[in-house]
Amino acid sequence: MEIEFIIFISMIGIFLLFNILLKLPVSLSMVAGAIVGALIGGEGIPLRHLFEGTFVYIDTILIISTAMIFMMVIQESGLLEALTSSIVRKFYKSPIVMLILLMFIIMFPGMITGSSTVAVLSAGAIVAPILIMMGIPNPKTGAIIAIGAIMGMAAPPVNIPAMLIAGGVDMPYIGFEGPLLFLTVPCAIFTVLFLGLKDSKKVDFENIKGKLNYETYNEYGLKLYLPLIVLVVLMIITRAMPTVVPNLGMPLIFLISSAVGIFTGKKFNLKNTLVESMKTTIPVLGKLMGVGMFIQIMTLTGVRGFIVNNALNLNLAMLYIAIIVILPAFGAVSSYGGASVLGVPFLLALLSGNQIVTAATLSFIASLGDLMPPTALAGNYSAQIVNEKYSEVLKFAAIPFFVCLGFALLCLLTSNKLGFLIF
Amino acid sequence: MKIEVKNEKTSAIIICIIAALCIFSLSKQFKSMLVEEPIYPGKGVSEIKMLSDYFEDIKGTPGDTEVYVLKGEKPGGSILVLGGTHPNEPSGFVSAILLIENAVPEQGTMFVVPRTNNSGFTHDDPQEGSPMRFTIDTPSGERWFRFGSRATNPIHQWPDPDIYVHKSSGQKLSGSETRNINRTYPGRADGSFTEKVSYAITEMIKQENIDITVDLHEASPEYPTINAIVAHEKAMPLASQALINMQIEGINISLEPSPTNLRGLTHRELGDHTDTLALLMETANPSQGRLRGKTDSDLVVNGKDKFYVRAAEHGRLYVPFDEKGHPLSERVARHITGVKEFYTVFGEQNPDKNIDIKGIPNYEDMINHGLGEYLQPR
Amino acid sequence: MLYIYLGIVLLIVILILKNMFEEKDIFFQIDAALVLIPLILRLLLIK
Repeated sequence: MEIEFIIFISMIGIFLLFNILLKLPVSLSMVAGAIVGALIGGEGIPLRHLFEGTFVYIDTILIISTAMIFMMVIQESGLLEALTSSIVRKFYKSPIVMLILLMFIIMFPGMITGSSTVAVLSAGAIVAPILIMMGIPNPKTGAIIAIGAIMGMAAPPVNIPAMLIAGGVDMPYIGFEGPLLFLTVPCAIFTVLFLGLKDSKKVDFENIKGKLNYETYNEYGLKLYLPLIVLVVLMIITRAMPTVVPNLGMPLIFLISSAVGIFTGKKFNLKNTLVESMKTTIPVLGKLMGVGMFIQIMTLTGVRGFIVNNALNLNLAMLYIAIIVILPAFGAVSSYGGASVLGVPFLLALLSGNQIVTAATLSFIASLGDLMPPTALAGNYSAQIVNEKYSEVLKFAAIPFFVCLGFALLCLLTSNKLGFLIF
Repeated sequence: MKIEVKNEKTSAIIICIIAALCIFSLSKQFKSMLVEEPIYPGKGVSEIKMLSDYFEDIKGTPGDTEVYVLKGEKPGGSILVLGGTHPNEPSGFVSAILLIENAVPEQGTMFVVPRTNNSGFTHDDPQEGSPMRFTIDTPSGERWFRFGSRATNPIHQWPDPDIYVHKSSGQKLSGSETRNINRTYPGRADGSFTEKVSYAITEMIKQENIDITVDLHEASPEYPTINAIVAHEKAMPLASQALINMQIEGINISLEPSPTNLRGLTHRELGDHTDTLALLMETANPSQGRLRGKTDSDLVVNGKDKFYVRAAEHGRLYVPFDEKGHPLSERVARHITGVKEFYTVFGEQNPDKNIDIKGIPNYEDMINHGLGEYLQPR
Repeated sequence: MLYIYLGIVLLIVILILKNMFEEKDIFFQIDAALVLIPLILRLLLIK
């Protein structure tokens, strides 16, 4: 047995022991796995390596924290409830149109920011109550939001895994729009109709209409929507005119929009809201820190190379299987990590296909990794929004997940015929 | 599982003290990267300038760095060697130092910037598990060098935009590339920290009328552009003759034209925006690849890796890779030989701008004796 | 922009500390410390 394999199974073993048997949090279990990996690899307890690994997530910490603050602010100000009511009132007559429309709303922040977490925490939080009101059970709603957010993350114009893969082979991020839309739009529509249509057809919308709350909107008027308008406008103009508008970054955009929200709706205790929003965020951030340490030790001890090597040194048929199994599975650690660590060598191994379509598809598959426990950023936050356990949400996400994966595999196999998508 | 403490304040204070101790220890380690490795200028060095001499704005910033000028007695052409564009690609950095310490020009001028992205030397890329330093044995003792990051230190340029837009072309890349100096050329006087440094390099080439610019790089063995020269179209006649000469010497190397749609790189932008003949060289560095095993100083210097041997057997690599690996001495020898060929061929093609430099070891010597012989501390 | 972002880091550090001192769950406190360490190193412009 190779030493790297022994280190790998020890790291996983310790993680499972701590997490499942001893019921310790994911974060501490990953730290324990990382430390044991380093010890067996003859590195002692390398404090510098452990914490250096966490620095990949500094920007993610800021995005998640500020997105959470924004979500709490729009909840407290009454914006969330008012928006839900008005969307239902306008579109209740056609559930199909409404479901597809809601799916695009979920995707939108992900398309602009390239982050599924942002999509879940901003648009997902707005859409969740509507889906529930339409008669879709909570766990199914969670699954729709999680997959919608991932489709948004993978959809153009911003797909960070695709940028990482393209950057890794010095390919400009140009021409990805067509293939990415081709991958994400059908999958998104399929998911929302597959999970939502049956339940939403059964519901009597006339009855729901009566239950909606219009009071907040009547009291504050359009002003109530200002934080959301500011958020969307800032997101779009910083992307559309990067040479004119300075790059504010998502954390600052979320904070500016939150600040607007303090004055545009119901009054609330700002300090408590801020502290409370951080309270729900800390365990997820802790998990990210654990993941960062875990990957750094995997790289340091050669476990990462061991995994990439075993995935690559396969014949072509097995290579495709490895791509649809290992690439999303790496999302359990990090989908961006998967794109950069595995996506690049996979692309290099598939040079015979259409490069842009292949890179786009690999980024799509890597993005699906955001559903993988234990990190499962998209899944975890969706579950939190609908007050369900993540495992419940995952059950419903499974079929659309495999359909997306199957579709992606098809695109990989026929990438040479899909060149017309590049414009 | 939850374990509730009776007094949360006390436990919080204890945990904070432990965190503070961690921060103290980590600060010492991370800050140690700010200490520069010594460089011992050889007798060929006539002047040590700073990059800020060409663009005042970067003076006193971590982007400012030494420019070693090696001027011969007789006037002739000029060549600039850029090492340390990517501080995680050590052969370029070590080659630059070897030139500073050994080259003695008799005709023409050689400019050497060993730490092109100086800031990149002050940190390591997270999740790469890189060693902070590596050492080379020399007859007068061990010598250390930093192994840095591909990009500018975020403490010098932060936050990254979500997408990096290369200003003069509009090319979009992932946000972290904004700190990759070799995506920012020709640079901007009012740009980001990294763009200012690349602007200073461009200014230096213009102000000194440098004839040839060679940017020394490394790539992972699974990357297609490797053991190669990449040349701007203006530098093609020079590069193709140098290539033939290197192949005659038994060095396996290829030549690629600089792609016109890949912007911000030295071989594209310096060729487009200045009169210099822009060239870039790549060697095979297993310590930056994704397939590598245990990552340490030994891998950086000896370049041996069992996973790469296996990947080569499966046809996944673009360079041959056996148990002997690709040691740093071999990679530096390739770069140095390339530089030598470039100025020699340039002199043949432009007799009025001949460059003649003595003291540079030849390929065989570096392979047979190792690098220590030519990197002795003084 | 650097200083604005350092301000955001500071805000988050303060919010984490506030939570840490109010929460009885020891694992929550450790999670908080794990997040604090890189944030403070960035705030001090060390890493």
